[in-house]
Amino acid sequence: MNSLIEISRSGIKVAQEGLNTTAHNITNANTPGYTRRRLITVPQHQIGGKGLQGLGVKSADFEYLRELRTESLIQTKQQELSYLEVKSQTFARLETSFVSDTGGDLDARTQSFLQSFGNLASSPQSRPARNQVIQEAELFIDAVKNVHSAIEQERELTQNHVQESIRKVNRLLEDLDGLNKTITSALNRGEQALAAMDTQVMKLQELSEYLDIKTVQSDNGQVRISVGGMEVLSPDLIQQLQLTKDSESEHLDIRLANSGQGISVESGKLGALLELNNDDLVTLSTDLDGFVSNLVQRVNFEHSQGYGLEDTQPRNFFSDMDGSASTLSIEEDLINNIDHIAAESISGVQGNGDIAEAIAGIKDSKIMSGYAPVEFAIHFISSPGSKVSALNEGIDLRNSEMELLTAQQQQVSGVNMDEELSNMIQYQQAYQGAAKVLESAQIMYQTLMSIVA
Amino acid sequence: MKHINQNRMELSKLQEHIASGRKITMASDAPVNFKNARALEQQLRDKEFYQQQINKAKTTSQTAQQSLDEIVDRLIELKGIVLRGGNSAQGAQAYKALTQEVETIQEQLINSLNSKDGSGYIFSGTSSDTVPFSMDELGVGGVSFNGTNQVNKTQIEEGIFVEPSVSGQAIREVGGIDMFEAIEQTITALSMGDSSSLSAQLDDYDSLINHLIDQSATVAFEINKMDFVFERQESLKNTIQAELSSLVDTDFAETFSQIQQTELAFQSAMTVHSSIMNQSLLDYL
Repeated sequence: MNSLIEISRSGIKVAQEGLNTTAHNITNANTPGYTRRRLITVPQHQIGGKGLQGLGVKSADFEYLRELRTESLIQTKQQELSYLEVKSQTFARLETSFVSDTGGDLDARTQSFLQSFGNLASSPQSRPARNQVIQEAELFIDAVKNVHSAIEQERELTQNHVQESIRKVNRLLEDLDGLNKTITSALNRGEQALAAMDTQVMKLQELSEYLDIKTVQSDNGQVRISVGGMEVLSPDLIQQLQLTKDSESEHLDIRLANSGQGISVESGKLGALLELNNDDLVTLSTDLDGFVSNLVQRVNFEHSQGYGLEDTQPRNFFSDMDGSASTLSIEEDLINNIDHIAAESISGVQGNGDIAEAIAGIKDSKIMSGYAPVEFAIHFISSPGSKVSALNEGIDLRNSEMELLTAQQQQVSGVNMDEELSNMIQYQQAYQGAAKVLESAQIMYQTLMSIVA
Repeated sequence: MKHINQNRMELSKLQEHIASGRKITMASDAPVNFKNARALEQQLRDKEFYQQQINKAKTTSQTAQQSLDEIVDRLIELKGIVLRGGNSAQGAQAYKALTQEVETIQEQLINSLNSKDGSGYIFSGTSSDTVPFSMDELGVGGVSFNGTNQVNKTQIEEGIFVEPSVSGQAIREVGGIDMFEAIEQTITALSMGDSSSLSAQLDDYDSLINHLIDQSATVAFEINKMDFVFERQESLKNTIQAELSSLVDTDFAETFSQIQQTELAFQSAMTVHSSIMNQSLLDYL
């Protein structure tokens, strides 16, 4: 009789634990990083005089449903996705600065500037034509400086983001180190730190947004992380990251704070930001400087061959550049006296427009990478947009892959409401069944007691 | 849910195409088409620039032609005076009147040769700031030319130049005959009543008139060339504009049809989503 009561009590207890597990799963259905649990039950036996005798049920363990391979793939895809997104957002911002629909972009300004010399060539002594040359040159300079400052601002923004990202990565490494310790301490107590493991999944996914990490999970749930072949986290080690910046080139490097050893980050947000700062934005800036410098050299070469209306002194049209487009300016002499603009090829023959014609003719010269000036300007201002388009294709692809992998992960680790509700009904019935057994045992006791009484 | 968001983004993009009238505003919309569109816009601006150059040059040419026609008229008047002066029946008083008439015509000729347009003096050659003709005792025929023999050229298309005007020096002189020298000789002959000298000058005036008609024809030829190139550019502009429009402008019929399709997909996705979300075992507990 006693065993009957024990059996039903074990049934009630396990059904209650089952209901608790299901309720926990249901309430965490939308918790990010949550991995569903399943109650493992085993029958209880004892060997008596009549052989193996059933003693009810007991809960053996909680099964923690994780699919490590899928999680690792999601991390990789997340790194690639974050890398593409950061690059796409940056180039989209640059595109907005480079391209407008108002007609004042670098291509149109370059063309109008050279055309103003064509206009001067047909009326070399005309004051309005000379003023127009100066005005168009100023508009061209403005367009160049706008593009240059957009690149510079983006580089500054990128460098701030790198610093912010390093801080975030270091915080995440500290959090994961703390979680490793919590898991170890729970293990020492003979428990499973399930909540810590859930948070670990979330933190790892967050970390993989920033850089290309490789993770190795031990059987007991502790994690080892390496970046660029260097271990940055293990159960007994944490290495924080540090940013170094070359004061002249503003090149950024990431090093291990303890050893100072450089590590290579090629993917994730941080990988994208480093590549933008160290390569992409530098290339854009160099291309702009090269284009402007070549154009300035050509214009100055032709201009210095000619004569203004007042004297025979050879003059450049643009002031000497120090290599950067940001320093572009018109020669002060020419701004102060437009008669110094050289339009004629023969001194004393006022009005000959040969030089102005030659400068206007630069529009057809291949001055940069096989491109004529306006062609290059179009190519240049389109380049961020072309990159955005290609990157967005990659983003769509990664999103689809992520969607598929997340669905796969959710099938294993995610909470299926239908399944949980069905489990709840089962545990509810099991509870009722066990309670009924207890009730029957109680009735049996009462019957016996009434006979005795 | 992802598809709902995609449809919403697609709808907003299509709405923008309708509102702006353009399907490509940024390179990221379609990089190749954007580059091609910008190259076409460059060509369009080139054509517009050359058309502006043509308009400016044509104004100069038309002013030049008008002035040359006036000069021809004045030379014909001069020839008439010379013819009348060659008639020995003229009296001294008549010669004096004719002399005054010739002097007036000489002034008118100088005025016509000093015509200006927006760019400056049209017969001063490349020195368009300089008054080309002025009375000068030391000059040939008492009139000096202060301009240059070279004329300003205007580029009206790739590799095509026009000379909107002619040089003042070329106008006044033909085959060793100088216009103002001839006039000076006429004035001298009239003041002396030398009818035979006057008769001998008739051929000079004929040569000058023919020369001026030739000069006017040269300018007219340049105007024709400008008109031809202008029309060709206008036609090219239309072709470029059509090509540009097909690249960047919104095809309204197509876009409206796309909006309807996307709306349908959007509604369907929302219906399916809400219907799935409504199904729950909770209803059966």
